[in-house]
Amino acid sequence: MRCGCLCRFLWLWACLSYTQAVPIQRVQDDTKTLIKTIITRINNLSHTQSVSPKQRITGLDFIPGFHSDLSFSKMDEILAIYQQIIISLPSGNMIQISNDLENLRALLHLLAASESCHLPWASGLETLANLGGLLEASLHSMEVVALSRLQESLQDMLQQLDLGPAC
Amino acid sequence: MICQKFCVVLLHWEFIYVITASNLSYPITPWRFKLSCMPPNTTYDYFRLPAGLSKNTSDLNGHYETAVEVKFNSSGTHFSNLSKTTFHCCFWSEQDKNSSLCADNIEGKTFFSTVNSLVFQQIGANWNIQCWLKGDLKLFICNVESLFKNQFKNYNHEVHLLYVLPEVLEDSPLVPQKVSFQIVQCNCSVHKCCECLVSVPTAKLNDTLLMYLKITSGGVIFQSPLMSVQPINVVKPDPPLGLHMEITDDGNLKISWSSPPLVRFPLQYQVKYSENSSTVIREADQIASATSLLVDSVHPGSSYEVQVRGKRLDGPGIWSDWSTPHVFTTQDVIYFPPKILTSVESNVSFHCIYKNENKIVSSEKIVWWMNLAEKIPQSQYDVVSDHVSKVTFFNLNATKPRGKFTYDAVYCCSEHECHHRYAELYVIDVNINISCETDGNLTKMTCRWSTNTIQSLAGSTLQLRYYRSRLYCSDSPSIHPVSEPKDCHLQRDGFYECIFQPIFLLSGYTMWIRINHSLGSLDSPPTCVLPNSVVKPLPPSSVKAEITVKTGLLKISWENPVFPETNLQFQIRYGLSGKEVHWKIYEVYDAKSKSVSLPVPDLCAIYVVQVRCKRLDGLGYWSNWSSPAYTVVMDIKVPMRGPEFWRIANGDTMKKEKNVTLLWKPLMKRDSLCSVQRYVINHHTSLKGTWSEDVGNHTKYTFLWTEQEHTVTVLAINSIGDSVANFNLTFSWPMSKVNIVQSLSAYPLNSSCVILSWMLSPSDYKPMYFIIEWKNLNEDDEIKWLRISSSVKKCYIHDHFIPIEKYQFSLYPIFMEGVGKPKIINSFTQDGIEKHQNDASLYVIVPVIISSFILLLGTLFISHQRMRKLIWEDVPNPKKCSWAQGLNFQKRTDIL
Repeated sequence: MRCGCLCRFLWLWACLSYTQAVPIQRVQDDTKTLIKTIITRINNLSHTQSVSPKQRITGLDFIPGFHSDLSFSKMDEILAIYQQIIISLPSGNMIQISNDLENLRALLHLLAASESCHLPWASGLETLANLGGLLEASLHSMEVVALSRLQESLQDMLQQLDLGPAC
Repeated sequence: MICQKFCVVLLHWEFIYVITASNLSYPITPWRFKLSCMPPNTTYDYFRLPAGLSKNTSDLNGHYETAVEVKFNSSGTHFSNLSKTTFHCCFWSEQDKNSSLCADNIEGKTFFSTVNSLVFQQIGANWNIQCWLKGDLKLFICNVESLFKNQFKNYNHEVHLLYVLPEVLEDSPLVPQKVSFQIVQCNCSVHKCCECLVSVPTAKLNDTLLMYLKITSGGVIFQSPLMSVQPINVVKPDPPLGLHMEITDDGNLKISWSSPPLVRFPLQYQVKYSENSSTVIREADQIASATSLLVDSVHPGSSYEVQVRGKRLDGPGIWSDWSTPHVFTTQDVIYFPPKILTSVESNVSFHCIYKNENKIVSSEKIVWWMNLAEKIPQSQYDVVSDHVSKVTFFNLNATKPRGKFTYDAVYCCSEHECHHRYAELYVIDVNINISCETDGNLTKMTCRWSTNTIQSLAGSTLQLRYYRSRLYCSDSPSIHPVSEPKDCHLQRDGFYECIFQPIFLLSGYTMWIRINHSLGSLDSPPTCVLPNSVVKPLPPSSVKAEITVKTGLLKISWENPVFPETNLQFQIRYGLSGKEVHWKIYEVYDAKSKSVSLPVPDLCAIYVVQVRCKRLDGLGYWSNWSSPAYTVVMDIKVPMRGPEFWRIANGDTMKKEKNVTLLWKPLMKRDSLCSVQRYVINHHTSLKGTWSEDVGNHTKYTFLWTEQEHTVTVLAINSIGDSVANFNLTFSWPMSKVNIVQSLSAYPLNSSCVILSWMLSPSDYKPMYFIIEWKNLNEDDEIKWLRISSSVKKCYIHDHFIPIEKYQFSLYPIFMEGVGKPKIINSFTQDGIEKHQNDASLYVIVPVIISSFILLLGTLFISHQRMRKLIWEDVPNPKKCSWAQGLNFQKRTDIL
């Protein structure tokens, strides 16, 4: 319990020290720019453009989809899952996107901290342990759906950031 | 006799404790223990002291040995008899004299008793045994050393170790059967020493290993009791390696070593060192796992001999053998540290102890010199102790290499004497600038740094180290204790290049260069780079350039690169295409702008255009220039004017019909904007009205002038339309007689220029302009013409004029109503010609004139003489004529 409090205090201190150094407006701008950058990166992957929005893919329900009202913690949770999935995809540039997601999560934590909202770091899904088998069986579906949904989620987050997400 | 009986009783008493448990065994000790054997059936005989031997126990030494030797030497048959005897063998240890273990044989009874070891030592056959597990934890070794002096040296001597592995024991934990034991033959040397090797699986190191020895010597079999050991408890590592001694920066003697290879557990060490002759043993208990020991009070001119050995730190174990002795001799002058590597602007200190002529110099009398040339001011000295002096250098500058010496030599001296040994001071400028650049795809950051600015230090290596923070850079980057090295590759331009890929766009990468040297390591000032802030975007794509139709502007358009997503500023450079382009720069700060239109002086030229971009907030780098885009020359507007034209009138001037040929010069691009597809002649006469004729691309057109007045206009037409401003020419019979040019003069300036000037007479007609026409009368050249403003009174005609040729110059006044009467001259003006003519005929005409004049004078003279003669022949001589006498004839002569 004490350790948890200490960790929270340290994280808050670290966030505040950064906040002092970096204007929060810049953090907001960087967050939006980074989201756009990730969206563009996914756009540049040719195979993701062929996904039909009309077709529903079954069996991949663990990949987060549309969320109307995204809070900071929900965003972090979603991004943690995507990071978990993306890093396991074998296509090129996935590590870069994963790195971008990590930066994005850190920015969201910083934004949340600026609003006195102290987020725990989401750890992703434990059920994704057998992701390897799923990847082996349906790599294409997995990649296309994950990237497509990530793109949509990022668009949602971009809009939500303008509205001021809840903690 | 009593004594012998006492011994036997003692032995029997000592074996009272018969232990029936079969798994009782002698626990192998980390130290050396003994195996002693004696045949029980004959024991009493042998224990009876032979006659003549002292009963004093001290005289019993080697009794059994001697007895056996006697037996062996007496006859061969006795040897066979002895082999049938059953030996009692016991383990005992000098370190643990109260405990021993005896047995008849492995199947027989085992006795665990307290034995006076002295008995075995004195009357048994003895072996020294030591067992240990090698440091690699794989090999268990038992060393069996015979203590017989010489009786077995001529006989076969075999030692076998029989052991049972723990997994075998598990099957029958209580009673290991004889068949369960594996046998190993030990390697025996001629020096009575045998080595038995048993491989121990790593997983069984903590299990109990049971074993016994079977020693066959000269047909006699000695079988030891059971021994037991947990191999891990008798680990004996190899001795430490790399023993090294040095004097620390604090003036202590540092003894350091490295642990033996393949050791998988921490060790403790024991260090034995001696200074000159006095020996000191010091255990490094307080630094059990450390591989160094500090010895204070080091003295100059002393010799130190050191040995180290190691033992398992946790749990029991055996000390390794001592390492090879290492000797270190201190010099008469000791500098500590002896060498310093530091960076500029730092402060460093040297200490010294100076022994001169077997006497340590007082620290107060020590002076310091630099490079044997410069005495260091005393203000920089400190007295640390009676014998230790210190000098401090402040705010150091980089060492300037002097020949091959890349250091400053610092000398510790007495007042008038310096020892030849010195300390070395290396001061390096480590200000290395690291610059990074993120590529346009935001996936790779390339960092470059050069060592050109710093002095190279022989034997040093450079390494870029970095630490990545989660987000952003701190205001004052510092060297983080946890850092990673980065591979950098030397480029041809002398820069090192390191590539980070993939990257964290918004993480701060704190980087510095570490200079590693045997003297230490130096770090350059750290710099923090945010990849997102050092982006060099890809250049704008799809750059197009065109001159816009009608507006006539240079329009440049482009597409933004995919990344970065931030706003961009643009720079456009453009110029006339050619070998050497004189660029003009135009900057665009509107991030949304994707095109720009610029005015350019020449609408009909080919322009080359390039665009580049950079983040609008100024961070990062300019992209490369885009691929060049070129404008295409095309019609921009209708021709600005029609061509200037003139006419050649052919035919009889008296006739009413004339062929008129119109001549015009092709329109230049700047007038045609930018091409002429065709020319059209507009005619207008009072009778026929107006009509047009298309003459295509020709520049000459002939028509028949039949009416009183005929007006023509020449239009230039391009893809946009007809020329706006056009020249008219009216051919009018009445106007052709209007003469307003009073005079016309032509003055040749040189062979390429003639000045034409004219004077006008007052008239009601005002000319719109003049046409000057000229041609070489001696050749059939076409006429040349020039349109001149009506306000001009003279003009320069540039052509190729030959002075001796004849030229005709005509000046036509052009009125609104028609072409006036021209003023025509067929030669250059006299003033101008005279000189040329004189020049040409001076040497021909003058002699002719002079000759003619002389001839004329001669003729006149002769004529005069003849006339006088003719006249006076008819006149009588007055002197002879009477009627003439008295007349004055002198007057007539004057008249004549």
